[in-house]
Amino acid sequence: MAERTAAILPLASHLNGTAPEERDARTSDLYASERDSLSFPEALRLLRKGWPFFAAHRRLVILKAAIAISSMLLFLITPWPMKIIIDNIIDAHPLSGIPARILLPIVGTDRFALLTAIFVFLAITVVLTGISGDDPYPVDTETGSGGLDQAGQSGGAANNGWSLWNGLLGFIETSITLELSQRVNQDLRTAIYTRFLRSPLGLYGDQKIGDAVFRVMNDSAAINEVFYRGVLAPIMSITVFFCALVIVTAQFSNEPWIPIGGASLLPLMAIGGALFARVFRDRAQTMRERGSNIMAVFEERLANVNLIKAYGAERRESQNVDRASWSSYSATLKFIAFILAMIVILTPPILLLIIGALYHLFNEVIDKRITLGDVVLLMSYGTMLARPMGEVGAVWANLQAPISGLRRVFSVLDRLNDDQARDGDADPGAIKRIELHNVSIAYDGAPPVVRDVSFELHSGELAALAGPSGAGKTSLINSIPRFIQPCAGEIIVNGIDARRLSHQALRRRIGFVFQQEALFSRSIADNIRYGVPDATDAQMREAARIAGAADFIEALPEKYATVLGRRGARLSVGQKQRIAIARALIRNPDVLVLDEPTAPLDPGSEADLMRTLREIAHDRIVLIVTHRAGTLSECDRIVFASDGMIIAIGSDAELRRSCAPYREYLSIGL
Amino acid sequence: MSIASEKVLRDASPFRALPPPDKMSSGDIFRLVPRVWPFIRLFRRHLVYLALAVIPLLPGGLFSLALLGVFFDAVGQGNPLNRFQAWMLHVPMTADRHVILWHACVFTGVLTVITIPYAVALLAYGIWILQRMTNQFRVDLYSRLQELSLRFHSEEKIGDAIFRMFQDSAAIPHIINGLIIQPLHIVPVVLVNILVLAAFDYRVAAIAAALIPLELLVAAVFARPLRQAFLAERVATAQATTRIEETLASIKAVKAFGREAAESDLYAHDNWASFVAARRARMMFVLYRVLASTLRSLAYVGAVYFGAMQVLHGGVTGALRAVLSLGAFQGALWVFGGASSRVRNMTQMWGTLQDVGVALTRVFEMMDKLPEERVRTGSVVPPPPACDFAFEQVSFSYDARTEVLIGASFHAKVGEITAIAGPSGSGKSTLIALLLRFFDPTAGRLTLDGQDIRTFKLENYRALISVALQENPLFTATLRDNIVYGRVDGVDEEILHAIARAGLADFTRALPAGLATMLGEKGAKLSTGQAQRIGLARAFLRDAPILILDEPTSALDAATEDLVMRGIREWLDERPRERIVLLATHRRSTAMLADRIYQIAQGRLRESDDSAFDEPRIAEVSNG
Repeated sequence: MAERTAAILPLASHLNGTAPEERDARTSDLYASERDSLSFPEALRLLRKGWPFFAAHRRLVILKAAIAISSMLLFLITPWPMKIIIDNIIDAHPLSGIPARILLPIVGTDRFALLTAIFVFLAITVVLTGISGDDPYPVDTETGSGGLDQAGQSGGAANNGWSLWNGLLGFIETSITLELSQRVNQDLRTAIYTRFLRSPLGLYGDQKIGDAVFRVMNDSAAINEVFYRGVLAPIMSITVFFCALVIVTAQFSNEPWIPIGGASLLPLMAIGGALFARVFRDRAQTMRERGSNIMAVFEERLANVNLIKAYGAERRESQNVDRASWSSYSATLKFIAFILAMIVILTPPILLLIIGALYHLFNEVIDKRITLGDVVLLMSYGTMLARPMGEVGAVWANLQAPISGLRRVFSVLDRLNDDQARDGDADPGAIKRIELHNVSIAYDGAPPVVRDVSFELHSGELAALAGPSGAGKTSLINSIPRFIQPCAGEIIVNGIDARRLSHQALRRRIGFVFQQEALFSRSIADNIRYGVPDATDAQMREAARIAGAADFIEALPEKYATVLGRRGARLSVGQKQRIAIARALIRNPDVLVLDEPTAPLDPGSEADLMRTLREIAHDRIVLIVTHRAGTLSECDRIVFASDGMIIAIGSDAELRRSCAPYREYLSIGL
Repeated sequence: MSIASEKVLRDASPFRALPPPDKMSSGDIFRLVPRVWPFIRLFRRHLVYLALAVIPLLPGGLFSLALLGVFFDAVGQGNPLNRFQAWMLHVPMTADRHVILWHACVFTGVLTVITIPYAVALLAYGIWILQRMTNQFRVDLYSRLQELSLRFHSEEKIGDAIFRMFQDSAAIPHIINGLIIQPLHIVPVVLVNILVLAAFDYRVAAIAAALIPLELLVAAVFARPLRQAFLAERVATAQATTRIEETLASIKAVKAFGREAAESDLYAHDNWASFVAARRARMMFVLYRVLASTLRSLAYVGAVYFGAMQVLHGGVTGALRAVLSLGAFQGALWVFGGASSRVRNMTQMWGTLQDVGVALTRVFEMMDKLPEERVRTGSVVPPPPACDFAFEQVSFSYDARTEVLIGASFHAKVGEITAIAGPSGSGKSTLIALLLRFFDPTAGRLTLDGQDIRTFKLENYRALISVALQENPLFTATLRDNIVYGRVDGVDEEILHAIARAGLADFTRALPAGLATMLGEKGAKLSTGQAQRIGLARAFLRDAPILILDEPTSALDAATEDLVMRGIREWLDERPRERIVLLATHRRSTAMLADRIYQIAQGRLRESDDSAFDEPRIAEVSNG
């Protein structure tokens, strides 16, 4: 599986080339471009970007195209049996033209023998291809009966394959299509998902998880539709058109109006399609936006369900969900309404073509220039000439809906930075020293939250970063393992610029404990082992013991095997915190960064933890972000920040003596 | 809408006997009809209108059959028209073939131009009805989830719920279509068609009739394997969805531990499993469809053979005993095609229904979940507190083995700040959950002015409480929307007042967009301290008489803590005879500002005054 992922990533990574400049922590304009209408060159660019995902499965693409196109040739024989039955069996005309050359030597002139031959031929084709005048029927269990919106619809689209055929051929072709669609879709999904995982932390701030889920699971399916409708269908259509043209001209050289009439559907559909393409696109896009919105609304409400309950907001939230959901449905309805309006508008000209053909052909029959069987034959070939041309004409219009999905996919791959894309390759070695030089950090193009900050950290030191809430402390520590990129200044690790270090190597040596800790709904053991999956039980217990988590874990009935609920639900905040500390310690990091580790702890546990950290710090860098005087007084050195700037650096005692803002920060409220 | 949905839920609740999706039988598919019936009922008027509106389209088939005869017999071979055809085309029965052709073409054109917009409009109407129904279903499902206890929510995975909510619930139109609309329409049409065929040729009619049991046989053989394959697909895909949701929610840990590649692989693995299951399901469905279709096509070929034979022999075996024409042959094939393709469509629909059946059962499985501790509402509308709120010998455990609270008792009096102080994991948050009636105690009771809170109407009871929760849940919305959450009609002045009390005045002033600033997902752009105070401002604004604060100061520095605590005191003193403040904290500095402190340790409570705050290590918290 690992090799598969490794093989997929390059597919997406070369796409990153279009957004070369490192976006520091800008977020709000991330998907801004999706609000614009999709231009023609943009659509072509998206097609080009999608192609590598198919090229990776070149053999399957070729196989699918070969079967699809060659099976179209079989399609060309289908009108003949009915013509022969009408003319040569029921009406008893002698065989002539192409069928005479093939059939006369086999069955002679006997009508019953001819009927039997036709019967056998039909039975064989039915088993092979299912031909029986059926409409092609896509294998699609999701659509077909309407009443859905985008959020309910496309989950299964990734798994659809189709064939124009039934029978043995249809079975084979569909299985190849399924294989191809699924492989392409899986690659794309994994690529999007991986990109989400690798986007810088600040960037992720503006994302809605529901929207991300929608992009990975639903929008990704658009790529197959784009390929089938945009590339394969036109090729097949053109093949059918020319083959039908050859047969019609060979058999009926004096009927030039049928091909001309058929071909006239091309400009008709192309003009109609071009006129409405923009509307289709905008509607399809709205449909997807609303679909992802309802998913995000739903996800966020489930995640915050206790607040909703506590505030008695259930009814209001049901209404919110109703509104978001119905707006998604109504966007879908509008899209469908446009397609239906197109059908109504295009009906009169197409009808005129069909009736014109009927009138012309039956006039020819009355005047004995052609037979009734020829009418059936010519009407069938007329359809084979007209339908492909119509499809070619409508390609652009048909592409609008899936392309809007493809755009949502590629705006992730293009615009969301891969924080490892410009990875360095240096390994810092055991980290002994970290220096920040004039570092500034900004989000959203807003004024920087951290300005011109410099300080250094040494191994063997228990350091603290203190300051009033909102001072930029969390931003600063997030910049050390390069979760976010400073917009100015540099971070030097062991004398090497952090931008030259490989993320992997850097992060492997840094243990991080976040403020609002994220645990997984797996067992406690798996949570502690998260960073070191192959850690032994003894190592795990030792980490839990140092973090002060061992006692309460041992008190649980299933101990380390206890499976946590969603995001660690049902543990207290302090308990989650201690599991998180154990998770960081088990990696035996050179640097341990803890964001407010003691905030949820009672004084007893705080003292225990500080003792532990003191031990850990003797050969490591430990940096604690904290407000608490009790914690600060235990630290060797305090970096005191306020409003994004460093005010003073020194020991607790020094700062208390010399720094008035620090005294003020500590002394009030005691 | 919401009133309707409550009704639907009540209506739906008696049916609770559906088996789990992996144990379904074919018969259970039909039992889904009564389950979805409440949703259909809501739209029954529209469905009746739709059915009535279809009636004018029915003679269309008759006209089409007559037109085939006109083109092939009258125009093509010069036979005279029958009476119906002549009436239809407004020409004499023996009119000139050119004239007939001209009239037939005009008639076809007019018929199509009238029918198509009408049929299209009906289609749109039908889609609208189904969409309304699916929407209703979705919203009800959400309301239902919201209703379930927190225990359910702490164990259920959001990604799985998303999948059931969007992908599985989308199956409802298929049930309506496949089990109600289609059979109502198809069964009579097929019977009539077979009778029509019998008038032409008994053998052709017999082939059409014989097709039905054959298709049924295929349907019966495949039903169970199809169901299993589709269920596997849905379970696997829901698993992949869950993985995305959960990992993205814990993205910080993924990055900090450099696990991006490992998580990608895990997802790729889930995704692959989902595709393998999907492929199996689809291939089986294709095989099923191919078999159903091949049977039908072979029958069609047989009909062509016997029909043509019949014409060759001069046609004497049918009920009409008339000489058969080419037009009649074409007509018979057309009727046969109609009947047989409908039979085949039913078979295919049955295949789809296996998927839809497991999908809907998965939805109902979630809807029917009634955890044992489901909190039931009382009937009394509680008066605002006049005296005190009390825990009386309350015990509680999440599961049978570990008790979280053991005989806890305390009083929180009006006009006072009562603190529950204790180390982490001692049961403070559980106590608050009980107070909010997220759960009910396993023993003992909670009282407001002496009355058991279980007798109160839940909605009115919770309206008395405003709470700032420990995890600071925020919505992706503006700052204003997050603060007015508990009282949507709060005006700017009140909002700013609440903000000032929560110590956020400076922060808000510094925001360029002020109250209209968008907060990112779960307040991602805020520091924890800021998020905490927004939760506090929200609680202040709600202005309910009982204010509950779970660790309101844990992420605050000393100066801000002091500001916030003064805000709380100020709020209480505004109406000291009506308001109660209860706060849970592990911080001594915060607890010290309370009027009354209860210490909690290992689930047991005891009252203490300041001097009794006697844990030896407390002394270390002196902040100088």
